[in-house]
Amino acid sequence: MYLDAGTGSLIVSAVVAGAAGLGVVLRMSWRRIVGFFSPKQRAEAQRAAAQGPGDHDSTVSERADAPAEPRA
Amino acid sequence: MGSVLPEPASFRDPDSAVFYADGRVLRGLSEQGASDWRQLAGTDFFPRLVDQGQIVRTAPYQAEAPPGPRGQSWSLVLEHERIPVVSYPFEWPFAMLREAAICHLEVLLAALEENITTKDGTAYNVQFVGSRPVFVDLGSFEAASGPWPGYRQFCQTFLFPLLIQAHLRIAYQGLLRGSLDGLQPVDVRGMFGGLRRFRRGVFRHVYLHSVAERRVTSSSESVKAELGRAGFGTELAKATVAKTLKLVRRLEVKRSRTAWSDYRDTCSYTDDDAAAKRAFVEAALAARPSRCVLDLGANDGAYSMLAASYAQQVVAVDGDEAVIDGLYRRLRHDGVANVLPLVMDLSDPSPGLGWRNRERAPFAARVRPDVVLSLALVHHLAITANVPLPEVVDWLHEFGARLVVEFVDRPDPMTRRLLSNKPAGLFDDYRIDHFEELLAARFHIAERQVVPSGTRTLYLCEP
Repeated sequence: MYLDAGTGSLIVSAVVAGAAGLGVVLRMSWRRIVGFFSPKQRAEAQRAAAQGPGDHDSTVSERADAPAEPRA
Repeated sequence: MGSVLPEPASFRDPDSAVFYADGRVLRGLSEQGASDWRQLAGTDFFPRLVDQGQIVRTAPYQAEAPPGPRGQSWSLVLEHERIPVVSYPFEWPFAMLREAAICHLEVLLAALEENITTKDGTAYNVQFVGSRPVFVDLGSFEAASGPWPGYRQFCQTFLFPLLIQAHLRIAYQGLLRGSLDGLQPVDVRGMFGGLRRFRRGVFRHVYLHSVAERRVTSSSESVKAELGRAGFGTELAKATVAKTLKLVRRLEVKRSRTAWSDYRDTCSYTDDDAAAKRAFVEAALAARPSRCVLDLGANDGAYSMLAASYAQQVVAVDGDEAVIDGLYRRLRHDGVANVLPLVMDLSDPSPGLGWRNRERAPFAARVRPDVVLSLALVHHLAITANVPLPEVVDWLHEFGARLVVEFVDRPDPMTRRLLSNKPAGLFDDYRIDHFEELLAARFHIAERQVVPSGTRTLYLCEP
């Protein structure tokens, strides 16, 4: 699985910001973005996302289209 | 308008590309890039930081704009002030990398006050003009929204190298040279095992970073949107940057004495020798004004400092990080602005790196000296590094500059020490008559002087 390395960094940058940033991180909808699930739960979540009409992001992202970050 | 050459490192951003035309440094902007520029030019911080020297001086290019090197047609073209000698983070000692990091964060913080951010955070956004860091990537400024997108790059190319040097005394230069993207969080986490993860700045920036990178698997855009919904705005981005700036300012390296940092105390010079050598070098420098002096094997920079009064720019290169770090701190303390100190093993200088090996140029392509100082260096290359003497002289000749070179002969205590580490007979051609023949075949030897103790000879050579 290819992970978009920039994703976790965004969350860490919020934690780095201090108490207010930590508050933001805690208010986030973690189920949508964190891969803390067991493989079984993850498969269920994917099925739910595929069936449901909601705009849930898949917990498993291929990110083959991740743009290279500009270097300079 | 003569030939238009692309800057090989400037191809990732479709809205902004640097190229060279008639010796000028130009930046072409797309419609979007031009709009970002107009916003930037209208701020208070931009002209202020340009005047303070923290951002490279930039103005719209008045003459007719040439098309881009790849045929792009620009909405607007800017002209940047030229950086005299381009250098890279893997050539900077600790104090320089830290100062470059501070420059980047201060520029960003001032920008965020006016709701502008930088879209990246790489150490390659900063260059040095002499001993002063300057932010050069004008194309990086854009309207701010949510978290700082450059945070990860900042960690990988600035913060992680500083952390491993400050806390673990691991030299980062080789690691940065090994990858232009810098150090990965997971690799740095591996260096901070056990209780080390609780050293200043490590737990959040390294440990959490590595965990989050592994756990968070959705796309950047969805996380950004989710953070926005939870209330992450510019104020919080400012807090991220301010806290990181505070950390960077507090990082310091603990030094043990290296072989070179006490060199001046233990080397084999008498006072008479030192005075004679200094007078010879000073006379050579004073004879003609020079644009750029390259001091190879600069050590503590005594001769670079001397050259600074006679040349527009001096580049001081040495393989020892500790002495170059010390030199940088002294330059800043004494307010000497026109010396650029760099860490580099001269028997293994910086190569071409990145995309097609062209993105970052090799050292020899970046510095065009008109005077080269090679003092107490040849014996180290010829004996310690086993470079054949003709190769050493060829290399010195390739700079195409006037040369002040010192030959330390076999009876000298330093040469004897180096030779004693090598099998007998291996360096029989390391002799002054042989060296002089090699010099004379490539240069015109204008002056020659033996220092009073008789074991060292100085030459002034014209190409």
